Amino acid sequence: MMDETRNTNSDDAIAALVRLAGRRTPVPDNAALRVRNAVHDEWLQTIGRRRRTRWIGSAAAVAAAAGIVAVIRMTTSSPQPTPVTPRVAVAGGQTNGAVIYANDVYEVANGNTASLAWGNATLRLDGGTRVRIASPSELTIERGAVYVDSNEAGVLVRTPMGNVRDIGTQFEVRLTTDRMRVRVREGRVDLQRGATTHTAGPGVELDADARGGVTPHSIARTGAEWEWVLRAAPPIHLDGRTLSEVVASVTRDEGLKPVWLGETAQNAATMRLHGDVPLTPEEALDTALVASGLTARTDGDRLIIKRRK
Amino acid sequence: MADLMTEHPDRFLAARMVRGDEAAFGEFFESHFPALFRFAMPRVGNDAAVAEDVVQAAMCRAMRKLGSYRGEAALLTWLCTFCRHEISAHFEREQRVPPMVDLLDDIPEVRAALESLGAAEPEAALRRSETSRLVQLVLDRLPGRYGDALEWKYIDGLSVAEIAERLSVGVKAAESTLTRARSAFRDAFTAVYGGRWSEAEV
Repeated sequence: MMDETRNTNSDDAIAALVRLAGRRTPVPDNAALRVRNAVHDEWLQTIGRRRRTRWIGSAAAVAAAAGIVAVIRMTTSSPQPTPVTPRVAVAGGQTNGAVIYANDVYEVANGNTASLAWGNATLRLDGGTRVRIASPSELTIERGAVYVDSNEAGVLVRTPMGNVRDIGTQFEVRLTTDRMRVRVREGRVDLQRGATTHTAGPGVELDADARGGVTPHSIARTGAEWEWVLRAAPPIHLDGRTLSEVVASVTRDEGLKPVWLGETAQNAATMRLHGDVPLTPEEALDTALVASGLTARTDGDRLIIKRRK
Repeated sequence: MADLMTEHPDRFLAARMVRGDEAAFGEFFESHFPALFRFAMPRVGNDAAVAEDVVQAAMCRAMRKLGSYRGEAALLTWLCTFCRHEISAHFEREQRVPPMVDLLDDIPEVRAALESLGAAEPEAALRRSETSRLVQLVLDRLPGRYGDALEWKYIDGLSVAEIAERLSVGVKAAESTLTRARSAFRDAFTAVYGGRWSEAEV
């Protein structure tokens, strides 16, 4: 009873104090909105930068531990190999100039990634992947995942669970013990299983099981599921390239559409960049934007680029 | 995670923001921007445009340092540190002398008490004319939307149901928020008023 009385008195006193003080100075709505937008932009940039820093740190650790050349272990099984492509780019900042030969087997250790220039396409290999390159347009996945970014139709990816043929596109094929999934980011692919062809367009995944079933799903064309593709990207040299070229390259890997806001940003897009240090795609984008006095943030599947305040 | 959420709500909020939680950003901004703006206003001669600039610069700087926030001080205290720097930088750029203001929360004992909220007992009693400002400072320093809830209840005269609607919670949760808000206010005000808050001349 005593406590209740004390609490009631104390509540009355709180009420009296708050009334005495009166309402705190309100903040103008328009000021709050302006500041909120600016701080929100800064926050988005910060968390984006932190995510990128982790990726870069991870890649550097892998390179230091395993050595860049050891990222891909190549086994030549053909006694008289036939060159199928003139160059090989290895993720992590180096091009070793090696030639891919028919029936070469490429294997990437878990936790690593790799990128190859392959015919008219770019090929990314995720960690734990083993592939056999048959020709400039045909390979077989034995395990793991590949991502193909091709300029022309005709690439064929063979798997024990069906063959995937692209029609000028960006897509991933991932093989596990009892499933295969084909995810299309852009363009169109055909999955051939026996006599049946299943077609998938942008934002569609085909989930193939061991019993012959194929189920299509809608998927996001950007986001965490695609992050390994960017990690596996070859380094970018800024020197002599325009900002718009760098933006186009990185946004293509991220599945984003660049949007240039304002005349200043559009003018900056044609500026030539300098710098001979190989950079990861995200480092390259950050560096190019800062050098051009611009900033960028993602909004859904768009990369909004505008003048830095 | 539950412990971090209840025992270190500011650290929990910052951790959610670092992970990219959009709702956490909204919560952070709604609960801290008004208090920081009011912190800045008297220090820049009540010039709202300048206050907006320095608060924006301070909050942007804080975003860049978000990963380094360890929760040693409340988030608002941490933001105030950035804001003080921005205010100094503003007057240096303008080559002007900051307005001579004698602010209650610039008194070291009061500032220490506000920042520790319960850990210190300033020796000097505060003058009655300063009580109003002290109450407002305490309301700004209360966690979450406690300050708003008390204002809505005692100044606007809103019912619990109306407060629940503004907080987007149920009536029971709003009652609980008010109870905790009163308790937090009592503790905080006691800390800065030397234990005689109920004797304040109201």
